[in-house]
Amino acid sequence: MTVERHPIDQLFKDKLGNFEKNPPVGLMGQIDQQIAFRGRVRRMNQVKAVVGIAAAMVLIVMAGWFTLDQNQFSENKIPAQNHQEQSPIQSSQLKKAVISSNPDKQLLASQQQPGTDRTSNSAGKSNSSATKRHSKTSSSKEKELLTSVSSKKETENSQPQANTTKEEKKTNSGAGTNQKKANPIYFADSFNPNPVTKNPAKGSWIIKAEVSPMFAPQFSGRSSGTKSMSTVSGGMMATYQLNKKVSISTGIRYSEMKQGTHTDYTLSAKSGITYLEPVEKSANISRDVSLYLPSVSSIVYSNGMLPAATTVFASDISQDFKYLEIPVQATYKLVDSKVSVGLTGGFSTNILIGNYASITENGLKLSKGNTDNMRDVIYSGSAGIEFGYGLAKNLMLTVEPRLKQYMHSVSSNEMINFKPLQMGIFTGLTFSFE
Amino acid sequence: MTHLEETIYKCWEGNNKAQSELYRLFSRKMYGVCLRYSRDSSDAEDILQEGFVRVFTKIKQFEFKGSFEGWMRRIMVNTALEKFRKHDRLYPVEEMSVYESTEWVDETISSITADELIRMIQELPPRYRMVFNLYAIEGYSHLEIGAMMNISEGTSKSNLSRARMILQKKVTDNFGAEKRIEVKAI
Repeated sequence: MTVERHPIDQLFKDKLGNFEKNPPVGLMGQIDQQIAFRGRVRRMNQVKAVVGIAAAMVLIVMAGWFTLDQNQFSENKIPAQNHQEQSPIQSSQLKKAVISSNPDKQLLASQQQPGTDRTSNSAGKSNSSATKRHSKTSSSKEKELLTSVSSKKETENSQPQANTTKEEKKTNSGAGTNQKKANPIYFADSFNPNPVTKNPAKGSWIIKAEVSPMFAPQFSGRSSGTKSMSTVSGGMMATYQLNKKVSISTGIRYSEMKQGTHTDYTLSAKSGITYLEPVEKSANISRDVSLYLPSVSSIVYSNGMLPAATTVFASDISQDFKYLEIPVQATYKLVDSKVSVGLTGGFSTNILIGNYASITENGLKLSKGNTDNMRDVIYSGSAGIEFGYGLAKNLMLTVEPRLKQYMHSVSSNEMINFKPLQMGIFTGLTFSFE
Repeated sequence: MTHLEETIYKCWEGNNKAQSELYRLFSRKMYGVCLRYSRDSSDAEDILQEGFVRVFTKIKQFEFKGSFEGWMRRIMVNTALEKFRKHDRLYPVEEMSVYESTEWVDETISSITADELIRMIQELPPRYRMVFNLYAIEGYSHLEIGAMMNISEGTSKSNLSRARMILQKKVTDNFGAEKRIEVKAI
């Protein structure tokens, strides 16, 4: 059964069902820009998420480390004070352990047990000095301790093995696992009475904030018409001290490249979009700029520039590339005193987060856009010399002249092989968690 | 593989030339669709731009089942509907008191241009415009329209009826009536 259509519906369906009309010129350019912009926003969001997670993890690790460190310090402090007060008791207990048939267990348990002082002060001192020479947990060192103590004590007022009571043995057998916490000697041993060190010790973490002006020398692959502009780079680094000489760092850094070119351009059309193209087609990043004109065409035209292929005009083009850099860097310390000197080197992953270009003529900005064919991710290597000056116990000022060489061409255009070299003098502050 | 299929596959890879080609092939038709759903050409440009951005970013979702043009048209319509939901939901609806219709002679109908009809549709209140387009031109049912616009089936029918009356009055006022007839609701 066919349904009778309403005459109004019929009229509009017939006239507008296949209605077509030319959209305004230049809309495709705007669509392209919108797609590129959304791609950048998406990448930025991904980067932000990764950075956020990394930062949260670093904070958690540092907070955990710091808290643990504080706990250890407070636990250490009390036993260290007790150590001197209780040394006579401990020395007598040590003596018991020395003569027992099971030296390891006896020693550990006897240190925990309260008892009467049956030994002289000299024996206590001897025990104390013996324990200070040894580490707190290593079983081999415990044996060394026993050997050392027993060799000294065997000649003194030792007691027969039979004197060790059954009660003591029972206590000993169950005490082994909790010795570390309960044992004042062990903790006194681990406590450093003079913890102030100039340089962070092995296993410590350091955070660093750094900033630098960046320069690119003219010999780094640009054409004579292109001049680099100074930019700023800076970021946060987390460093792990592998040993007294070597440390490894990673973090996040912002960096930028900027350059300007004065050259002749012409208008050309590609895929229905009007572009500005340099007249000279030499292989250089600045020749790979394509700026969408439609949105600003009226400005260009009002300046007397017709969109004919033969129209040539001179103008200044400015290109600006912003990167988020994730470096992995090693430092080898050459001099380790009040003023430290170290060699640094490493690699970085550089993620393009900003790509801006503009054309200016006689001070009037004609068009804004971006540079085509820029790689989203490129890698770079860096090397430098770091000078450090200790400002306080955990605080150090650093100055580091550094060279950064991009390892790939920043453009994916095969005609372009531009691997910039940048120089900077990074000034930073480091804080070490010990 | 047809030229269109080849172009679509290239668009999957983000090929700028292929995107431009797709735009060249369909932009006229899609702009016509967008004009019907918008209040003016500037609004239509926004919908067209947003629609094509979605087409290019979601083109991998097209599974070559059915017509590509139909898929693209649905994206444009959905984009227009989304814009309507965001901006025009609370737009006041004009009250009409005319319940009569007119039948026009063929000469009158043929003298009306598409641009004039587009202008009439654009002057409709947004919700009437949406319902009228979806029902009269796209061919959706009131049930479907209700689901798309989050309104009841009855509201959709009522909106369509009012849209027809407004359009009928505009046509009559602009192009004259030959005889009056009673409108039968469908």
